[in-house]
Amino acid sequence: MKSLSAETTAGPAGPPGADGHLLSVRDLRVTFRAKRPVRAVNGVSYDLAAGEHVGLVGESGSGKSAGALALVRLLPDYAELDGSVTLAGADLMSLSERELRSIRGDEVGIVYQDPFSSLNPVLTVGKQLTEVVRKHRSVGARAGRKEAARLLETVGVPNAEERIADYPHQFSGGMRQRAVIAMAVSPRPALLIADEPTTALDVTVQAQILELLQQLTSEHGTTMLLITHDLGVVAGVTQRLMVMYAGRIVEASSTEDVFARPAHPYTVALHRSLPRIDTRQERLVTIEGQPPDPSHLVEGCPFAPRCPSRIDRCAVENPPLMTLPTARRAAAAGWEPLAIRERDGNPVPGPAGPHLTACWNPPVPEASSTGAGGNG
Amino acid sequence: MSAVSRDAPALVEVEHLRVWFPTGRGPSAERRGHIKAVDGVSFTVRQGETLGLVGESGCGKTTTARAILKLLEPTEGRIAFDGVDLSTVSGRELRLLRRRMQPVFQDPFASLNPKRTVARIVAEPLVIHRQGTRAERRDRVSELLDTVGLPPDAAGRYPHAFSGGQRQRIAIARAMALRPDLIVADEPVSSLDVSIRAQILNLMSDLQQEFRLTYVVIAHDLALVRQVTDRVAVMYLGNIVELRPTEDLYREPLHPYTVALLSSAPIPDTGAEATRRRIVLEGDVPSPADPPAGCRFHTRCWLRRKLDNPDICSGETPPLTPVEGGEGAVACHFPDEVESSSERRETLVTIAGRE
Repeated sequence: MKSLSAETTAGPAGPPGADGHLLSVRDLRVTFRAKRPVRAVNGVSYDLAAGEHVGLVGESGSGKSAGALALVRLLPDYAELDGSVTLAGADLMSLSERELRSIRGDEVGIVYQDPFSSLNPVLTVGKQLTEVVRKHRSVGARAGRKEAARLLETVGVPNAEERIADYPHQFSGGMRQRAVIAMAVSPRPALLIADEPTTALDVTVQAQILELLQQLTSEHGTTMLLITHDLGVVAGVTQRLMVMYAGRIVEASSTEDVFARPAHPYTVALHRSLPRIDTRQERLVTIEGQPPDPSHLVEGCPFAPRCPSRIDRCAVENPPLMTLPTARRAAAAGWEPLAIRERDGNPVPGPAGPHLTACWNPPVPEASSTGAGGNG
Repeated sequence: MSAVSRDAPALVEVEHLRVWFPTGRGPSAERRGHIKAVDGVSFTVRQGETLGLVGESGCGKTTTARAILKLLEPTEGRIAFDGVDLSTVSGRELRLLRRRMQPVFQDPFASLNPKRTVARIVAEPLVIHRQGTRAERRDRVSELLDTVGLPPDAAGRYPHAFSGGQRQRIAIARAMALRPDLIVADEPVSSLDVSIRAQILNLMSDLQQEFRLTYVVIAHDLALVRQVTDRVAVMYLGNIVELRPTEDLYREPLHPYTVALLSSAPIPDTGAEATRRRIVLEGDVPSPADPPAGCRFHTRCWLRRKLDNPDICSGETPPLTPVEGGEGAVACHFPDEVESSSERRETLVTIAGRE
């Protein structure tokens, strides 16, 4: 695994796998063993290209965090994993715990929601940073300490030389998250998983942290998987979005597409239900019902009970991800998912891929200039 | 929520409120310090309105709310509820007042006793305040569950059987049990899933209309605050820096901190996010144990830097001054400069300007 680490990542990012993608996930499943097993992730597939910033959006229980932590097998013992995860050609699911440890940190950096929980409260920030530096580079204690201070400075901690002697509790929330980010990016990982990195922070600090993540990942060509429940957070930072619901990806496309032409009723409803900062609405549009209980998944589409555009088929068959029909095609032939599937196979969300939706009756996009009119 | 006339009578009056928490130990007074969580705050809450308290963590918004509920004692200042000075009441009189003001907390997982049935949780205020017979209380509970949109069979179940949104409905039912005039809601939806927040906000709005409730809502989500409040008090380090009718605040903010908050708010719109330029506030919020002299915001103020650091900002605390030719008040030495700044112009275009 050594060959994949920091020194070879001088280019835009780590060497791609055989298929040209940095990360390929296929049919990933995570089940937490319990009296009633909790099926947190139910068959998730996607590709990430080097240098991309991709958002994974979902509510609590949607499986977004479990799915991301499963990539590097950072889940408790009672979690059962299935599927395949390939990072730069290496099959992460078959690696030993020891091999995985070198992947974590070296090739995959992780920033969690709560910076306090990722720092050891009884060690100074400097000591923890130095440890990370020295693990990845053969430098002496003094040089390591110097590098730690430099890192803290790059992430915007003022008086870094002095602050490295501080303990985590002496840092504010924003500064702590900066320190955690410094640790995560110091080995120049090819992939950075940021799990709700700004949720615990105040708005003005949130803006700073997002900017910092954006800047560091762009500088090093790092691929970033940004996990969040907040559509506002992903809007500015990601190029692509994957929306999760009940353990599956239900919509995927460019961030712009998902915002401008949402193609899954859940995404549409989520967007409409948000209060808006630009105007006061007469009344908020609600999504009735509750998100499904992952230990109680029923047949059919899990969003169907809350879905305004459900059809009979939704109750019996869970729709797979399908290429969204163009308005023209939908108008000409009707939305015939089976025909589309036959032609397109099982599309996987990936760079520059088409707009995908897991819906039998999706909102059809507005007609393009060439297309005939169609409406959903 | 509802439009409330500016002459509506005050339900809550807060005057020069200070809440200081002692820190540290030591025999000498100098060694002992104070966290000045709220440091000289005055405002009124009008009957039937929703007042929003916004600001970042440590600004004193939650402490202010707790003082209004008399859950903690002010260090200085006066709080009156419907004309009655809270510091003068105790015993029976206080209990009577307490019926009229109820809290709703952020986290319905923490605020509901897991060992009690929903019926008991919702009836508890009635029991404590000795309202009605057992049968009457049972009827009242079913009525309340219906009011907040829960099925009748919820009464016999325990909180764990409910999702976050339903639990918050239970908490709201409990708050409504004594037919209060005032509900103080501290981040009532921020721990809930995004897809059910709108349900709870609409419920609160319906209850307000139906029962003529007055709300004090604490929130950090500025889009939500625009949706649910009539007036907003923006707090920073224990002070109110701007207090305005909601629409005025979002259309023409007059304090540099308000502008910075608006400029930082994440917007679920790729166009707005792609073109916006945020005002980045330098550094962190200073410690409320040792707040900066003069204007408390001066150490991070973008306008002060732009104006070449005028002495007055670090030398004199700007009072909360009525807005000329408008409603509300702002505490800044240079509101005209805020008004004419390109920073404000750009921020307003960003938050309003969707193509």
